[in-house]
Amino acid sequence: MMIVAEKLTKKFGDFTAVDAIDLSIEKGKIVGLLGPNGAGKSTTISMISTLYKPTSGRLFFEGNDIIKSPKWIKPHLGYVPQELALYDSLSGYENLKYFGGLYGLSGTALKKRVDEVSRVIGIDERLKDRVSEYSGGMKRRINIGVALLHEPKLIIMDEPTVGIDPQSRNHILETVKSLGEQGITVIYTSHYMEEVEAICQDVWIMDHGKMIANGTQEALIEQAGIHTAIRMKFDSQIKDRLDPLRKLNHAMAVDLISDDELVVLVNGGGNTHKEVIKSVMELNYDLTSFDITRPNLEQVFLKLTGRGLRD
Amino acid sequence: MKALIKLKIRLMKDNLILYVIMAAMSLILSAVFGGTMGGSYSPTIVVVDELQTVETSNIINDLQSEHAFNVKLMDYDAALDEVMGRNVIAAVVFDKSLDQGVNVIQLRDTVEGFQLSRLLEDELSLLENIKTLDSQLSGILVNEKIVFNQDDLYLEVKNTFGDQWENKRPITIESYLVASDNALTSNVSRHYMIGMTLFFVTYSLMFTVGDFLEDKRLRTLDRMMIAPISRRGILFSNLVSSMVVGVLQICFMVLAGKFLFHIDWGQNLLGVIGVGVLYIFVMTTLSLFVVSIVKTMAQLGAVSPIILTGMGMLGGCMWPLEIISSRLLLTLANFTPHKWALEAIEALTNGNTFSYLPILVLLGMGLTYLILGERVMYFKSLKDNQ
Ligand SMILES: Nc1ncnc2c1ncn2[C@@H]1O[C@H](COP(=O)(O)OP(=O)(O)OP(=O)(O)O)[C@@H](O)[C@H]1O
Ligand SMILES: [Mg+2]
Repeated sequence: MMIVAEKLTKKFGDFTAVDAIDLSIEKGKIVGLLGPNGAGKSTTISMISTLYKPTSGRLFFEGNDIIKSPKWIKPHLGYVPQELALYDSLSGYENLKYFGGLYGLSGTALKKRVDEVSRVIGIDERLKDRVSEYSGGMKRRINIGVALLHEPKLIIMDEPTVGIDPQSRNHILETVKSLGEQGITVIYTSHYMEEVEAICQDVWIMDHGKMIANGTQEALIEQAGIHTAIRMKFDSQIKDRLDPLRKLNHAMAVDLISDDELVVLVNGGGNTHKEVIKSVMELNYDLTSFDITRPNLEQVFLKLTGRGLRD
Repeated sequence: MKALIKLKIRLMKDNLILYVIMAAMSLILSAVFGGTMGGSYSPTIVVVDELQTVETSNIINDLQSEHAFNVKLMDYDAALDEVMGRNVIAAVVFDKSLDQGVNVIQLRDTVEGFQLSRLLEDELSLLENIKTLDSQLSGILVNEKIVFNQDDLYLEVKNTFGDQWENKRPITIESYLVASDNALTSNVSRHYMIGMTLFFVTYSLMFTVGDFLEDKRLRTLDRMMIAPISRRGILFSNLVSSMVVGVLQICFMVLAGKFLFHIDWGQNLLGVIGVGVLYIFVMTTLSLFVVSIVKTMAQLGAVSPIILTGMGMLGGCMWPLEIISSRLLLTLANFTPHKWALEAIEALTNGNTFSYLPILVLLGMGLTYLILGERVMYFKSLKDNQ
């Protein structure tokens, strides 16, 4: 395990921002940390990155206690803060160079890394311009680049895609994926579940300072007991013809919505929903349209807390 | 750490204009205050010589040869008019025997007036020395029953020792200078040069150290905190880079003084710069302490002029402390680094003497502020993240 947290707690005064969470993060995985605003995600990763001292609990990096000695994690950690942390008055190049210097890089080695990283984040030609002249997306990219210079083993990203254009967002997601392919461990924080769904292998879900669920996406969906729902519309009344539908393979439940409309809940993962649709077609019912809702993390969260991820 | 210092110095480059303005301000103000602009300004004084003795004409000659003053001779009533009409800064009146002193008439205390009094005191004490020597010699001669002419002896003493003392400064006066608490200077322009340099360098220092607040605001401080550098290392780099800039400014001002205003820094230029460096150290740590207390750059901007101007005034950067008579102000002056740095530098430039007390006081102040600033910051960081 790369990171292990036991009963990790952080209080601000009387307020408990992170409440005795247990967490373990496997080496080489892209791990999503999902939760609504104020769930305690940033506080949790601030503790992992040794910026905050936990109120209680234990925290290990590769088996070493990093509350006692942060030095174990520092050289190996790349941290992308939620808010931009750059010198506006310097160029992107200078930001990369100086922050790389903080990790002992210098001379040609530093130069080489700056070049590599600027290619990775996709800012080449405007690298020598002042950061204050960059677009929001470019700033975000530099913000990420700064965390990559020293080739960290673990990269923590706190909502790196907030408020940017789709192109930059895609670029960032691709970057994270390729980091994962290089065997780098990534903790990715977001309240955009589509992002987490797209790139993360493991997911941890937080709410009100507590860790409320974790596992692979499939496992979470399974645990939460959420199913693919197929909404079907027919040309004529359907309520007298329900029995054959109920007997279909994988059809867990059939609920009538109106005279000519119903929802079929499908059990099992994978492509079972396609089989159901095929069977309905074979029944020669006058199906005019259908609409598939795949189970997602948003629904998992809804199921677990009774609230949406973003309200 | 080296990387961090480099970064800080790079960031200062963007504030270059600030440093240029500060340097220009201190140059201009020392020129204006010190009246050194082209060396042309010298205040006018009038002398009323009712005694018309050899001594008084000697003194008048000396005053004229100082070039510090324009000297005019006139009678008492005319002199009084000139003073009342503010045409001259003072009237020197020789109307009673010199051992009873000299009257200096002026409307108010001025630095030049002070300078004038110092000059007269020097002259009088020279005369006094000659007289004392003369009377002691005549005592010896009388004891030895040697016959001599009193007037001849006086002239002999004066001619033998007077010129010699005058050129070399008599030993009695030299020891007076060293023993004095406030090393007196007759070189007012040098005082202003030093004062203004010490004063203005503090502003840029305060803001360079305050950069720390900017790092907090930009959250770049977070990046430093998670990098493999200790908290002390970050602090140290901040202070070192600020000091580098401060020391450069001091060196610039010393050289500018030397070549632009022909200021005589004495034999020990390195010593002067050394005291300058020590002063920069104190002001850097003082800035650290102030920065540790305030929360934002805006707060720093609000409090630092008050603190720095107040200290500069109290410490004698704007006018020599010798013209201050309020005990309270003089006591408060002891708490400013400015006073001690001025004193140490003036001791070096005037008599090439190295005074340990100011150096020790400065060192003590620097260490105190350093420890205070560091502790306040530490406890604040604990509180931020309790
Ligand atoms: N320094 C602090 N002092 C006091 N309260 C804090 C501090 N930092 C965070 N909190 C509180 O702790 C809670 C968790 O905050 P945190 O920033 O960890 O949430 P988050 O999950 O990252 O939310 P978001 O998605 O909005 O970034 C919030 O209620 C926040 O107000
Ligand atoms: Mg957050």
